[in-house]
Amino acid sequence: MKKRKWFIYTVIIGLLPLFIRSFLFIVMNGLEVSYILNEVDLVTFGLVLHISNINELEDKEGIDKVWKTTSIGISVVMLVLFSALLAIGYISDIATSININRATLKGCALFLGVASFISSFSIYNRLNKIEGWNK
Amino acid sequence: MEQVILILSIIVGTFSILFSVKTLVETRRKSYDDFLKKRNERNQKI
Repeated sequence: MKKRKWFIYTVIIGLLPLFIRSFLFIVMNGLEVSYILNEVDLVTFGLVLHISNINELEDKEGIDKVWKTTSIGISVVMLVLFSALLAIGYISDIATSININRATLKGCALFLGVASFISSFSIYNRLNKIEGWNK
Repeated sequence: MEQVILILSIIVGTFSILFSVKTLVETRRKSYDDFLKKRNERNQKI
């Protein structure tokens, strides 16, 4: 149940900007395919997933403490990286004079987004199973 | 600047994926052990 809630409330909400861009791409004429995949949207998706990971793990009792600390640590490091990516993305939007390779930025955001999804899935999968054992 | 972020992303992302795979495998193993324990208990009752 917890995993389904995570998927509906976190993953789908996190991917909402991507869905809206896809909808706009279908409806409007003259847009390029690259318009759908925006680095800021991917960063937002990652931020949403890791904030929910930390929120879920923070008040959980009776689970392996080493695993919990490592998971929260990874989420915090990922949040810092995503914040840095967001800052670079915003800078490249406003300051056109600064030469920033947006393709690299997009690649980083995509890779970290996929890693965040796998990480978040593994955390909720484990919490789901552990709560199943306690019942 | 992008190069630094790219290297950091690859390191952190790869570590995160490896840790996730480890977590998934551990969860699967524990889940299977639990299933075997329950089945043994049920068989002993019979």
